[in-house]
Amino acid sequence: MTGQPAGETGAKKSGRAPWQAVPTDVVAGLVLLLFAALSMVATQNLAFGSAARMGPGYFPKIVSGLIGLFGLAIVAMGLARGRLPRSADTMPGVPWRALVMIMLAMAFFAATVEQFGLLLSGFGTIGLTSLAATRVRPLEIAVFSLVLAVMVTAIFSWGLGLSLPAWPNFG
Amino acid sequence: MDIVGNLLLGLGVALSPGNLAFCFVGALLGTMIGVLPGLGPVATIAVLLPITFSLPPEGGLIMLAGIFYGAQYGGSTTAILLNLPGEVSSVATAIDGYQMARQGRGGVALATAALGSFFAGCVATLLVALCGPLLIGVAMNLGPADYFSIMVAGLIAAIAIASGSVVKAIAMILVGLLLGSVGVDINSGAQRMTFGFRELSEGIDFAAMTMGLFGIAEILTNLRNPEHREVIATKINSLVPSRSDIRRAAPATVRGTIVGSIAGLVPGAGASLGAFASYMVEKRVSRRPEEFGHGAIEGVAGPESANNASAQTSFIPLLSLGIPSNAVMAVMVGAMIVHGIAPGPLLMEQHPNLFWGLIVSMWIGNLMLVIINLPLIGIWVKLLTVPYRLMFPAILIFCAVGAYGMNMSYVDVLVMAAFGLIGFGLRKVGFELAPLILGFVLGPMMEENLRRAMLISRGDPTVLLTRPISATFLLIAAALLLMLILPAIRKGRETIFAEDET
Repeated sequence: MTGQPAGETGAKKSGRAPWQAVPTDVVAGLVLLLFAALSMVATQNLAFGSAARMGPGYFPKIVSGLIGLFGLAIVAMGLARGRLPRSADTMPGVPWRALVMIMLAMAFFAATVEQFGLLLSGFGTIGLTSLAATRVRPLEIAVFSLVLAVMVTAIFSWGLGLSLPAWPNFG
Repeated sequence: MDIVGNLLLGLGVALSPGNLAFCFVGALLGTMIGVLPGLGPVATIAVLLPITFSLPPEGGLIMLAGIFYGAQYGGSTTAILLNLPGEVSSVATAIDGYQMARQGRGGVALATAALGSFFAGCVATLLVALCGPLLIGVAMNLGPADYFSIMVAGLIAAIAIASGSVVKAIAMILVGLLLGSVGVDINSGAQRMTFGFRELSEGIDFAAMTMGLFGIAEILTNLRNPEHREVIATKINSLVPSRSDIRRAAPATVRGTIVGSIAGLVPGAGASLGAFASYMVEKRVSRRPEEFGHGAIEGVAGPESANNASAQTSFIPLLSLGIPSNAVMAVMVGAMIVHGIAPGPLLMEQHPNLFWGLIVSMWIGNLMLVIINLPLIGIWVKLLTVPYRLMFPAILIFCAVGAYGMNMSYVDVLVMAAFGLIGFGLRKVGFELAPLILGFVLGPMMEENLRRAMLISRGDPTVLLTRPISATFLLIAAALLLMLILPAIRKGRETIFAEDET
């Protein structure tokens, strides 16, 4: 029943952010409430209609109302449970670095693939994602990114015949 | 229409060299990705979806069937060798399969799983061919109110099997329903929740969303946990079961096939119910119940056959009613819709080639697993030893290129990344993502059927209770819900442990 593998625990315990003391269920419920609020705003101008003539807003509004109710219920559950502190009940840590690197890599790919071509854009993307790992080995990443970029280009551009350009095109 | 004629038609479609090749490539790729630890069958199918989009509908779906089998098999492989069941339906396999692997009999367990699955697949294919047309006759008489209630019951049944908190699972279904209604409303033409993005007017792209929720979110979750997987039995000694193995496994396979075939017919329940029921049956009838949990071969043969039989027979509710029974099936439905094919009672009449071709290719995909993958087990096991730091960039670039290649649009890549983030966040706070996908796929269908039912009844909601079929399914849903919630309230604290952090 050890929540985390040994070795990790010590380092993470000392570096816990204050918000990590919040019971998970409270956060989970708040997330649902956020969803509900967002969709309420997004559907506010859509006609609700009546049961016999459902408008475009009928179904989404009912569903987001239900999501809101569930959100409240889960927050309540979390608060009721929060009095008994236990590591499994509170927020886990977040791998910020992996999160940032991977999102950056995806954004880079989306931004560059049209002009840079699959080879170059792929190389950059793979390189960026590799930086998400806990230990970075520069040489390995460089070689691996190159090999993988060529492989991906070979499969998708040349093999499957998708009209994905392999080479840069700044036209 | 006779069965033989139908199956022959299907064979004709499935055995054309092109389609055979698609099936082969699908099974191979499916196993290859499915065997990677941390990527369950849903993630595998999601990651490979874009490849099938460039093919014609028949070829694409047949390849998908291959991928489906490959992914399932890959899931059993990680369940047996790593004790990492990729989804609920292979949890039962992991119990005794992993113990067999620890005793050096991993090869036998894998062979038993493959052969048992194949037997189950053969029987279930025949069953689908027999029952499908009958159920389609019934489906034609169902009204929109009935459809709505069947879908409600299906969704509740699906979460009955899932682990973890029931309340959270229902919440995820609701979020899925909401996401499913993004885009232009087909009745009024109004833009719904598109936040002004023109790219969202056709709805959230299904493939981009699934790749994000399962592919990317799973990688983010795995990166949090340092590598602590333990590769047991990297050397597979022998694949051949001994004579006593066969004597014990064969009856278990037959029983598993029967149990699984029946379970697959229950809308919503599907493969996981079959696998668990079969495990319990085997334990009950065995003369050596004490061996279960310590490497009993029946504990692999039964659930694996049941799992596969259910997967196959769950195509009956899927193809006749259009209702997916679990997340894997939901992904299959999503893929069919992308190919322009709406699963449902009309499918068999409008596209007989496709319907029967798909059913026969399911069987052929199964056969391919036995003849291609068993000899290749050594390679799959090697794949398990590739370090994760090399594996995840490969999966990510695959997702990125796949998402982009579907419509040659960078927006899909961004949608995928966004859902990766959302999925990761939801998982972190203890939500499961499978119910979300089910809700997303069923959402538009439920809304449309509710709309029609209410239009016919002039807004009288009691129509859902006065039509006998509809009332029956709503009752089933209510009973299931009660069964789920009562024990959950009593031992609410234990459920916390059900959420595994793999």
